[in-house]
Amino acid sequence: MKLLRVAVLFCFLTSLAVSQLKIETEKYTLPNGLQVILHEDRSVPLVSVNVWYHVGSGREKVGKTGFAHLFEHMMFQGSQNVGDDKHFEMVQEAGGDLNGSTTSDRTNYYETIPSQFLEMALWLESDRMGFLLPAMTQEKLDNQRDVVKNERRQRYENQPYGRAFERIFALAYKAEHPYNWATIGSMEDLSAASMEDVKEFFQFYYAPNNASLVVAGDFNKKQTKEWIEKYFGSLPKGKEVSKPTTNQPTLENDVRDSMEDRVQLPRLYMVWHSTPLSGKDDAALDILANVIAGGKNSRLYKTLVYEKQIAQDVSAFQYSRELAGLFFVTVTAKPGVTLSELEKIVNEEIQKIQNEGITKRELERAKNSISTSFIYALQSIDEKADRINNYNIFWNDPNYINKDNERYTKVEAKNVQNVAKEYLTKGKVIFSVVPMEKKN
Amino acid sequence: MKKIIICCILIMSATLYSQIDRTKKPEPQATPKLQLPKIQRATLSNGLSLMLVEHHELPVVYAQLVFQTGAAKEEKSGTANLTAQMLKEGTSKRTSLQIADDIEFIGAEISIGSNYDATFASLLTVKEHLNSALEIYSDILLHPTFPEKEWERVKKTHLTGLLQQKDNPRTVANNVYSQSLYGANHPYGRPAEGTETSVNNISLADLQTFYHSNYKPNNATLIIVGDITVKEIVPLWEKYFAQWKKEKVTQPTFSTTPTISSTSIYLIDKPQAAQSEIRIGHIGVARNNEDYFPLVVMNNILGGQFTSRINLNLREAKGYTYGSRSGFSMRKMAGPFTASAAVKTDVTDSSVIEFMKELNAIRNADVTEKELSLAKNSMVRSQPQDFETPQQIAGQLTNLVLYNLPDDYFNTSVQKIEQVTMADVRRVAEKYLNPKAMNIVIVGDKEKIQSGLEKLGYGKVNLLDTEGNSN
Repeated sequence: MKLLRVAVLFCFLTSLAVSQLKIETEKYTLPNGLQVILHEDRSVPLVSVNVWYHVGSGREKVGKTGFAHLFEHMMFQGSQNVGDDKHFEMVQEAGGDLNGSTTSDRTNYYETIPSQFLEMALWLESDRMGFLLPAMTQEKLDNQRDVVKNERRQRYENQPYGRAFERIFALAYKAEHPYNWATIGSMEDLSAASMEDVKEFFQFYYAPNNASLVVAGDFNKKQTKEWIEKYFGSLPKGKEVSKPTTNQPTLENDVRDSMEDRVQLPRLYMVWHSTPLSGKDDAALDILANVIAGGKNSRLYKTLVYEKQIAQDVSAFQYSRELAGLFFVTVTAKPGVTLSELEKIVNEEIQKIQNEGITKRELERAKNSISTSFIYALQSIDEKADRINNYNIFWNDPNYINKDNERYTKVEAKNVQNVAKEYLTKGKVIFSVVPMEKKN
Repeated sequence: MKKIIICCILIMSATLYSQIDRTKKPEPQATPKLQLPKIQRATLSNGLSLMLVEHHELPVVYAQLVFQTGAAKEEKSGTANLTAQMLKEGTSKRTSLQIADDIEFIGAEISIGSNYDATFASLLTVKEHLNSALEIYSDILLHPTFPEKEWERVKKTHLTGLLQQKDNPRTVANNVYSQSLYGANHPYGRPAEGTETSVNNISLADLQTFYHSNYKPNNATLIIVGDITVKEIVPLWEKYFAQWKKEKVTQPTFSTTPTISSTSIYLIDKPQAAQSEIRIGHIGVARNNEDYFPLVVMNNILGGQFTSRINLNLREAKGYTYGSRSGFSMRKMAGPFTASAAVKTDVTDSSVIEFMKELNAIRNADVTEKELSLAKNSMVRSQPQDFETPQQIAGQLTNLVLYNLPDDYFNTSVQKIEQVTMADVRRVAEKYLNPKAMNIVIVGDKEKIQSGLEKLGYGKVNLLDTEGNSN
């Protein structure tokens, strides 16, 4: 009885911590369509400038895969008034950090710098938003093409299991679906990228009306608004970029495939079509993933890794993107264990959830883990800026950062059982990576 | 017709743009004063010293116990690491699964681990749960039972993990490189996770001995950063750690290291590898080296950041790699200096040439005024980034604790960086880098790269297996 009361108290307190969280944002839109969001946080003399362009590999055409990411590299090569290789140098000389990244749905760029350099950071971002092309050369493109090919070698080809995801995407999505290929693209398509592609892509997707600028941290609001107007206000509006529409496929039947890799242990991937980010079941699926493989007491970890000791590791996650989602369960076999043995137990454990549901404790543990890791992530200003942009682009509401946790608190045990029944009973991709010459 | 319209638009926008001058980089505003964290100190009843920094931005508390001994003290490599893992596998009142359940249920994170010089036990929690979190944390640290059944599982999983590391060329390169510099008898020459042989030799009794002779309050410092005050934490801590008693703790001794007389190449074959992992260097310096500041400035120019010479050359000029760098791993004793990259297979020999060119160039000529000011400005101005989150602040305090730095260290470091001259950079490059006596360790496709490497003038390529043994 006492235990139960403590448990109830715990979940009440955790949701209290998150509900007390109030991240104040101010959003406005410039006449050229650039969305601007300001968030003050004066705790350290640092400011994060974070720009999202609403374009990623999901906008690429067949034959041009990997281009959105290659283009991201070009954005660091200097613009008309910044000079070759000067973008990095200026931010580093200011004592700042910078980077960019590309997903299937968006490309982001940020610099976190001492606050006295805010005007410089806005100037840098506006110069490449407006004046990248005058500084573009074939030589720069060729060099970054080599760098990106090396990135592909380092992170995919020379990485154990590194090519599994692109194979799974190709099995799960038909050739014409924009999630059919991985963001890194293929070597052939990277080779084919031309200066003409760079120009076209920039002019269409890198216009202010397809971008969102977050300034978060230690700054003076009035002064910052003037600078934003000064540097971004005069950039011309581009063509209207249509919002992508969700495109959630399903599989009629299971699809099986496997590949060989230079690995010691075979690994099994079981992948179901689920829901996009905006799907009503996205939060319940996140909780289901936690119940299946998040932590020692989760269903699969406990059975396969802890008790039977036939798996080296397990993981599960709801990989929800803007257009569509996939629910992944991944298991790596212990030496001498076959993947079919693992697959059978994964199926049994999932059926148990479908038939009997989950416990209250499993539900609360998942919710508490999710809400506290959300708070921990907000400790750094660049993470906070990036999340504000995430909510602005995908939810059209930067203030959703204060509400997102509600999606999780509302989930009941019944909902988790229902999504397991609804999504994990349909056709799936069953993919295996096996050690060379041991294909099974 | 269409063309004309486009021209008009271009002219119009050109007029618009000309209203502001974009050609000049905006000047910075006045530098705001960085409020360095105020370190408060206290001594707890069992002699444990506490350092606390208040940080009230979010309702979060981060606690870290820093023990002054780590893997450098173990006889069988992997002992410190496995001891840390076993603490969460059972206490006098909780089973392995209960420990995990209780921690996850309040959304706390507890991690325990060792590097060569130290052992760290950290706790991250939201403030509401501090009381419960400290109770679990103290239970793990003070009352571990090292259950036989859990040990069998942990050991098996750890050994399988070591087997999997053979797949990863980066890990293989790092381990073989360290062993080539220090030899397998020196603790820095052995992987802190252990090897298949060493882990098979470790018994549960070894772990218990390591625990009982190192996890003591007089061997530790407690660092707390977060939404909390000294007045709040001391009674809570005393409540949960009352039974923790002092005991004598010995410090590790280090055997001598082999000397490198000339630069040679060691190759570990990975057939059909898409890239070659390269490590170049020799034993570097300890953290308490008198030339610490000139050394970090020198390395910053050489390979310490994106715009450093090594990366601008190998990545941005040549396109050989996704990224290349150099660094001194400064520990209680001299750790390695390493220049490293993963490069495309067919430019493996060319990459070694470029690395050696840069390692020589920084000794043979002064760096430019511009390079020096870029490095110094970058280091001085990035100071606020080191003190943003509770974990970062605790990380800074950990350096004070492990390397005996004074509490005012952060107040004086800016000045010390600013004082570094061009002559200092040249002097430390000459003194601490010796391209004539470096080990070059490469994991890659032997068939495609060996002959090119043999033409570089470093003699015959020495072939090693993934454990670093000659074959």
